[in-house]
Amino acid sequence: MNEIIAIIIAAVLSWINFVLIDTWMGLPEQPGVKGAEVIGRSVKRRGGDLAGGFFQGNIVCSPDASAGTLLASAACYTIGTPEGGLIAAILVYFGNRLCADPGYAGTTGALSITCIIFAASYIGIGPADFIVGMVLAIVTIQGLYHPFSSRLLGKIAKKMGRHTKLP
Amino acid sequence: MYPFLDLITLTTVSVGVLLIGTAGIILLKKPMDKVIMFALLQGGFIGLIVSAKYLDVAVAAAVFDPISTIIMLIAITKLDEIRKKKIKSQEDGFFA
Amino acid sequence: MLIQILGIIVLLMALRTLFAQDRSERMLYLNAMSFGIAGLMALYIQTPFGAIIAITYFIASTISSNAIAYSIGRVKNEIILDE
Repeated sequence: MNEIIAIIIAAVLSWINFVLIDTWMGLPEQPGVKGAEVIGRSVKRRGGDLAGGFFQGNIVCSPDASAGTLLASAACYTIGTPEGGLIAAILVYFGNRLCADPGYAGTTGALSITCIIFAASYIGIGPADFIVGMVLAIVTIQGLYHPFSSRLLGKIAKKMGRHTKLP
Repeated sequence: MYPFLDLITLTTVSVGVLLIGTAGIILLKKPMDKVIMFALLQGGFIGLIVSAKYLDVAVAAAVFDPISTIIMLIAITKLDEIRKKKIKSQEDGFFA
Repeated sequence: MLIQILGIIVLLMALRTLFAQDRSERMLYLNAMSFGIAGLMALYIQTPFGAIIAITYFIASTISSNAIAYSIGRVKNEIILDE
């Protein structure tokens, strides 16, 4: 398959994967660790949404589904498709406990992206395209324009009933 | 396509990040910004070690670099607390 | 081709970190750059140890970003002695 189309499809699939799993696990509701609150309040002060800011802060400060997706696709590329995802899920679980975060978002993201990579290998999209696609997805959320992306994340959080209740 | 796209490898990207981090440490004024640029420099440094294929050195560097960042942050926080306390006690001294 | 795309993204994020205005904005760009460097390392070294390196580097960079963000909250506007 053409390289650019494969990267774009992989980026869209990994974007959907980690945003949905993180929102469902309650990341926009409250800051998991102390550093995420600082980033969330700063995004709100610059014109964004508080729930989206907490989401972005949680991505920076603790391994969540975005880390699970990237590391599972890197492990699937080097080790082989089902085994690499499971190894990455175990190591992301250790990393979560190291950061004193009691959640399971990282392992869930890693396991689900392993299933998606296994299914996409029948179309011709390899795990290497998922690595580049995941980095592109993170750049669209955290690297372009923070107020716009935090408002988009806040709308998704409100639709799934996970918007924050803090002031 | 363009001939300069062949120049982008892990080595050149890591050296570029290293130089940007160094420029940031020299040019920025406040110590917190310098620490953020130091974290950027660590990323480029580990990328350079990996591109020279010293993988076990890279694992050791990746584990020990955040420890040095945390030590610097503890120092900056402590110094700032002491300075703020001194200024506050000087102001109270004027009123008393 | 994949390494070139990631390399351009990493350099752009590093430049945005240098020229950003707000400190928390710098943390977000720094995190995006760490994603890129971890992906680059996994793509360059194609053996299983490359994945171990990428995972170790990424989790360590997350821990240090957490420490920096917490300290940004504690030190609101620091006092420097000279200038």
